[in-house]
Amino acid sequence: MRRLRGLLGFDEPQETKFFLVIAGWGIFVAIVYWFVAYEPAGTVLLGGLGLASAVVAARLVIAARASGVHQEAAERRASQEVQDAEADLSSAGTGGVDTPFAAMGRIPDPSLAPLAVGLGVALIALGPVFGIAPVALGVVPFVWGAVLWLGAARDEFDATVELDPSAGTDTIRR
Amino acid sequence: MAVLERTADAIPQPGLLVWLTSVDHKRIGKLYLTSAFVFFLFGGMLAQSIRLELAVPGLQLTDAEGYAQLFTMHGTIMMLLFATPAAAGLANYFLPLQIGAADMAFPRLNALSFWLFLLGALVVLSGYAAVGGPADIGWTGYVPNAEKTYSTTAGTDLWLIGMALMGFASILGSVNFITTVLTSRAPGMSMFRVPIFTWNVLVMSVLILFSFPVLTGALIMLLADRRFGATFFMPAEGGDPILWQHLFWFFGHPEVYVVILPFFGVISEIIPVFSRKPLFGYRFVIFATILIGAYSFSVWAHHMFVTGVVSLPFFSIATFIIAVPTGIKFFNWVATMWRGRLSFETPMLWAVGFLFIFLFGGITGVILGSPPIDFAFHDTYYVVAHLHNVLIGGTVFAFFGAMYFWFPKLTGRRLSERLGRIHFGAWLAGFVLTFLPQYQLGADGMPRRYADYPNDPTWVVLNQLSTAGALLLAVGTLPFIAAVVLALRHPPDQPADPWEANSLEWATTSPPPEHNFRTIPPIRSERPVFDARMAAAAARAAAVDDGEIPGP
Repeated sequence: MRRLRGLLGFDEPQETKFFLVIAGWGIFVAIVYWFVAYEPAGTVLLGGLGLASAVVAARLVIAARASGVHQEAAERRASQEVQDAEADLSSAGTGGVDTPFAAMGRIPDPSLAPLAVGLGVALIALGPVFGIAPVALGVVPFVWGAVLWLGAARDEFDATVELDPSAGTDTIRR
Repeated sequence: MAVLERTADAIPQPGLLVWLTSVDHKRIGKLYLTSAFVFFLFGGMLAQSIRLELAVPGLQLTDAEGYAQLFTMHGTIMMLLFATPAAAGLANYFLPLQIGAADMAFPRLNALSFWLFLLGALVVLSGYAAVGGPADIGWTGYVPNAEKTYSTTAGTDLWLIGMALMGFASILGSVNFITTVLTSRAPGMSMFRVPIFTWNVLVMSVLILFSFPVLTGALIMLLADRRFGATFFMPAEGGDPILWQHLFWFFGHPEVYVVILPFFGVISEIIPVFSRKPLFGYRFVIFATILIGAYSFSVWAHHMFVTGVVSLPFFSIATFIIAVPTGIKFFNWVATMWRGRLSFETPMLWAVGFLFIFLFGGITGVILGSPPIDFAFHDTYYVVAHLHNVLIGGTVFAFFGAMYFWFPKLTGRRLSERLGRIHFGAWLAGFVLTFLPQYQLGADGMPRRYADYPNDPTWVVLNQLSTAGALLLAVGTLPFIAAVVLALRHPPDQPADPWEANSLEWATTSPPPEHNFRTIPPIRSERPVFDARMAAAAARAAAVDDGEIPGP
């Protein structure tokens, strides 16, 4: 019984169950739809919905397993009393939200990178209508923005590791 | 309490560069909301042009081609340049606040989503500068009408590219919303303590994640048909035009819920506050939201009944079934108000208006779910009236309600109650006057998407009533603009929780500091601010009893 519960995802966190339900729904409706309508486009779309949702659910399950969240831990976390006790312990510091986020690298500094990348993508996308000119024009902000973006992300990663070395190893392991 | 006190560190008025470079979810939310409202005004002007053209028979303002461009751009703007980004704007601003997070999970990606949306919108609108004008294919872009043979303007290509960019932006945004809800909740906030608005945004994001890629793919296929000689949808070359309808509506029907679900969330936030009661059946509302999201993927072909190639029983039954979870929500909203201590400040007026208008849209939708009736009403003004009942009731009324409700949090200022009531009254009357006659026009068989109609006295009167209503809607928007301008001329003066509300965004200052919270109250239910207020009141009462502080 316990094994069946595990297979059906009953012991998974709520968010995993959420995607499992959508996956089950998509696949169920795809099967029903096929036998009612014999129509391939809709069946593929519904099946795709089910499979895509199943991929998200599988990713959540694997992430939980990889981070050592096994069944007992999941059950323990599901217990509201324990959650409340954890919240009590953290209420003085409010779970870290009073920590200076910028210093931890958790909120990026203002940056032109998103605008530059967006502008680049938009100009490149105009290629089918206006030819090579907007594509050539768009590559410049796109590359500049991407370099800026990746550089800032690397700096923030380094700063995070400096403040909390375990964060880096955790990220690398994942 | 520290969490409820107002602090003086209101965000300083930033310059242009700050807005261009910001990755702060609050600024990005404001950018979304402002852009969406500007597009709303533009889309509204196009609607006025449509109604003026139809005020009397004959062609007055434009020809048939220009009229096609008018309704194409009106539909596109209202669905994808207003409703979708308005929901995204509210979600951007309030989702992290409601779950006690400092920002979105991917702040830079969030900014990229906004810029891609804005640039995509500008690409769509740049069709006005194209030779031949903007797209003229309807917001549904049906083929073969949208193929190069029938729509020669480059505006249609720009429409396709802009829509694809906006679709891409929405997908990135949905990934961000989902990740934020799943990973950034404050301690104690289990999924069944997440505020209803955030739950609705989560389900909306899942709908976007699974439906917008289908649209983006279809748009690229159509662009390939038009520009690179592909034949995906060209029947003469072996393509399948019905495939476009499948792909479009597999996106299009969930899109209706993409724009409506967040506003269901807004209503679920407003009604309990002004009823002084917790939301009736919190978990039922969540399950109903999930059911609506799931069902929305199984009803797409009720838009295709008249093609004759879809399963009528399957989609008809599915359409009837989707009314059930929506009915559950209605029941819960009404049950929340039942025997509550109701007060009708402006946000509550809009919420009640939403119930009234959206209910009409829901009922007329169920009627259209019956294939024999749909065959009669398809492409008539009955459908126009129904979809406006759903979309204006479901988004615009709730959007204005959200603005009056959350404006103090957004800016630290409150919108004028007096102007808000005038605004609401004009919109309620204007809406009914505009769209009720259209049901009769549809029942009489007046087709939509035509610039002219026969000189039948009944049709003329009904069309003139509709045009008068549309003008009232336009004039009725002015008090809202005036209220915003007047409010922004004053310094921020609102406390953290002016409405005595429930969810976590009211635990921080108005407007919130850069990192959103100094402290967060303990989260023991889906109403942590209410709990904190009650705890503070109990502590005060105990102190009075103990004689530590003087009684009232």
